[in-house]
This record gives sequence, C-alpha cells and structure tokens, in this order.
Amino acid sequence: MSTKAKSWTTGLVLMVVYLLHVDFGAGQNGSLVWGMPVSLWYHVGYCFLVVFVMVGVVRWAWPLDEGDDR
Amino acid sequence: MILGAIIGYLILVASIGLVANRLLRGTGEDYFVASRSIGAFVLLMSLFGTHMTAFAILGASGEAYHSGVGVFALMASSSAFVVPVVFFVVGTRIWRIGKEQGFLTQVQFFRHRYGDDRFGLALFLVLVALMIPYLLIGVMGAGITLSEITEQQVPQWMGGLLVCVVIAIYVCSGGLRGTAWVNTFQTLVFGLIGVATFWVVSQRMGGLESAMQKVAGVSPDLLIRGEKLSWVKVISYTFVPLSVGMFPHMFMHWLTAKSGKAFKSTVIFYPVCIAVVWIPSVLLGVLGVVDFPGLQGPAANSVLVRMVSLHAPGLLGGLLAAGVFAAIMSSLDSQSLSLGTMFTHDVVRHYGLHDKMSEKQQVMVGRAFVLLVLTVTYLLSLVVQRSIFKLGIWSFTGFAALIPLVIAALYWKRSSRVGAWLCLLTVVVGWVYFYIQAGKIPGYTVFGLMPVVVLTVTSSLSMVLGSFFFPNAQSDH
Repeated sequence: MSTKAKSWTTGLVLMVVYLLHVDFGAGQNGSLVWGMPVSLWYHVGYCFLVVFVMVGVVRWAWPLDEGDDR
Repeated sequence: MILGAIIGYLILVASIGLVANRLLRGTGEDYFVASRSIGAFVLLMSLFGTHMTAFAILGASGEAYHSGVGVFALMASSSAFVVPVVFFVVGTRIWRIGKEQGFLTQVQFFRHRYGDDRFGLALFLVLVALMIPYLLIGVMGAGITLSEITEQQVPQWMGGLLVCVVIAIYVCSGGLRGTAWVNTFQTLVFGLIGVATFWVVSQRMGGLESAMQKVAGVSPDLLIRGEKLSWVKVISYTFVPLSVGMFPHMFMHWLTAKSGKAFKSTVIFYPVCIAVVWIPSVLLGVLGVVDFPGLQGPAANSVLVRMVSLHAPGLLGGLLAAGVFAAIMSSLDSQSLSLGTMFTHDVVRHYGLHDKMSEKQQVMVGRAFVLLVLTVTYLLSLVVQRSIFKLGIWSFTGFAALIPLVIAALYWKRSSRVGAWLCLLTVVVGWVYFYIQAGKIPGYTVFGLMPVVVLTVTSSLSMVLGSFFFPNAQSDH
C-alpha cells in the first residue's frame, strides 16, 4: 500500500475512534458494575481502545524512517 | 506531619536536580534540550507530568462532585485520544526537523518555516502572554493547597514561595535533563498517591461497591453523564487538548527525545496514564457527596482534602499534599524553563548576540531568565485575584486555536506567511472578543459550542484563505 493510502486509512480509523468518544447510550446508564457506573466503564474502555488502536497505528503507519528510530 | 512530608518531598526533588547537575556538559544544547538524549520511559513520564496540572487531582474531583462521572468523558478520555494523536502527527515531525535544523524553540521553527522575522516576534509575544496565566495557576495553586491542607496554619504566600524556590534550584542546576528526571519522579508520585488515596478512602467507606451504592441513593444523577453534559459539550471539549500541539514546554520536551522510537511508548501508553490518574480523582469527587453534601462552587475543589482528613488523617494527608505539589511542580518547571529558553534564544541571541555568546554564557543567560520568570510569576501571584483561574482555562483555548499554524507548517507546503499572520491575528482578536463576551454572559457559548471550537475553526479558515489568496513567492519548506 502506498504511503498516501496508508495516511488516508490511518486518518479514517482515527476519525472512527474519535466518533466513538460520544457515548450516546452508555452515558445515561448509571448501573453499577464492580462498583463503577456503566457510563464510566464506557470511557475507561475507550481509553484502552485508544491504546490498541495506537499500537496498530504505530506499527503500521509510523511517520519516521528507520534511521530516525535508532 | 503534613508540613514535614511536604518539606521532605521538596528536599528530595531539589536533590534530584542537583544530581543531574553533575552530568551537565555546560553546552547550551545540553542545558536546554538535554543533548536530545532522553529515552522512551522518561519521555513518556516527563510529557505526561508536564501536561497534568494540579487540576487533574483537585480540580477533577471538585468538578466530579458537582457534575458526576461525566467529567471523565469531558476532560480525561478526550485527552486520552487527542493528545497521543497530536504527539503522533505533530511531535514526531517536530522532533525530526528540530534535530536536523538544530532548533531549540518553537519560534525558531516558525521563523524558519515562514521566513518572517516579525512573525516570529509576534508569535513569541502571543505565546508568552498565553503562558502567564498558566504559570500563575501553578504558583497560586501551591499556595492555596498548602494553606487548605494545613488548615490555614501556613499562609498562602508561603506555598507559592516554596514551590518557586525548589523549582529554581533544580531547573537552574539540572537544566532540561534535571527537569525531565524530576518530572518522571513526580509523575510516579502523584499517580501512585492518587491510587493509594482512592484505595484507602473507599475501603474506609466499606468498599467501592457499598460506597457507590450510597452515592446512588443520595445523588443518582452523578453516576451518569446526564443532560447537563450534552454530547455537543463533550465534542466541544475534545478541542481543548489540541493545545498540547502549541504549548512551548511540550515542544521543548519533544526535542529532547533520543530517537524517533522513544515517541512510540508515549503515543501508546498515554491513555493508560490518563486513566490511572483521573479515575481515582473523579470517583473520590463523586464519593464526596456522601460525607460532605452541599459544597458550593469552588469549595468543592477541597473535597479530596476533606475526604482524606476524615478517613485517613496523618501520613496520607501529608502524602496527598506531596502528590498535589508534584503535579503542580511537574508543569511549572517545564513552563518556566521553556520561557527561559525562548527569552535566551528568540530575543537575546536572535536580536543582538547571535555569534557572540559562548556555550557557557547561553547557559548562564538561560538560568537568569528562569529565575526572572519565576520571580515575576511569584510577585504577580501575590497581587492578582483568584479569578485568574478562569483566565487559565482561556490560556488553553488560545493555544488550542493556534494548532492550524503547526499543522499547516508541517503538512501543507503551500501554507504562506500571510496565512500564518491571518491565523495568528484571528486567534488574538477572536480570543479577546470571546473573553469579553464570556465575562458578560455566564456560561457563554456560541450556538451551544464552546468558544475554543469556533476559534479553532476560524483560525483554520484564516490560514487556508490567506495561503490560497496570498501564496509565498517561493516556497521555503
């Protein structure tokens, strides 16, 4: 895949993750699960989703050359 | 006990700076950017510690006391996404260009990129103006925290003075290497103390499940985001962390990286650090309604201190105070050093002594400016009103709205100096206008959006239109 295509795909993935930040349904759910409300669990889960996505982005579309990484 | 813990802590961090002094090579590059030698772990910790202020501990719990767990969505998980993306998109490229061109400050980069000396000076003035309230928050926050934690036994001026003196010692002696080391230590301190405080308090309240059931009985609306924090507001808040892309102290820390690889851990693990610090703060704020109902306005910022005093007085109170001081100092040190660096290189060297300063003189001037910045900030903190905290929030708005400048400079070859000027002027004029409007109308928004959104969109448009209609005669990128 070309660098340009990689950049566009990465941008698209990041845009989807950004939109997932809005918690439409879960934000109104105050039921407690292991002591924390579902509304908070959603955003804690979101933080870990970002971790996994960034692992992929770093591996797949790292913007620096190998020489820069040494 | 509390004062003893704080003084012990301050001596410890000053000592770390003094140890870093032994490694100082006496060159400007070593003092200002640690010879670009900082590895992955210290880079992550120093960037995170620099970004997090006392607000993440005291302010977050105070906000959660009033608005509930939705505060985490508003301020924490938005940063958990936006900040690593900014590091990935902006930080890595700035590091590479900085290394290639030998840049030490933001202004040097923009001056070179747009080939305009006056633009560099204007940007310098705007950055300094936006930084002043941000610095004041730290110094004033230290004074207020120490006074509240010791139940007014220690006056407010003392807390600010202690913080300024200790920062002066380790920043002047250790330069950016000392600052990065101290920040790493302080980030670990406030992260661990936050988790420990949360654990002890929730256990004393009968366990988290039981304590939260009590919250559900008293104020169930605190367990949901609710209508008060609409999704429009949540989206608006995602613009605020864009400010990290234009903070001079973040820029300075990016330049310290040993290699591009060092950024990878920061980009990946930043959201984990956010979660570790913010979850305890937000939950403790929410739990505060059980023991301390009816706190009004800013009084809620002391809810964490009150919870600790009630459930775990003594040592934990002292440790919490040390944690708050750690959060304050880990930002204030980098901010004062970045301003010292900018004064040295963007004013003194650029306008008069470019080839006449030895490496040793650069370090001396840098130290003198750090001392000057801290002295002026401390003196200002004695005379300004507490409403400066509101101005601090506006500081973030200004930095966030400047983000199109750096994005265009890095990614858009056709971006021109006229576009850059228009972008900067739009931010200045728009910022002043919105600030005045917000002073007149409490809770001011523009069609439900926070001013930061409108300002960022308009500054982006200014950059695009200015560059489109007034291109550079010859691209210099």
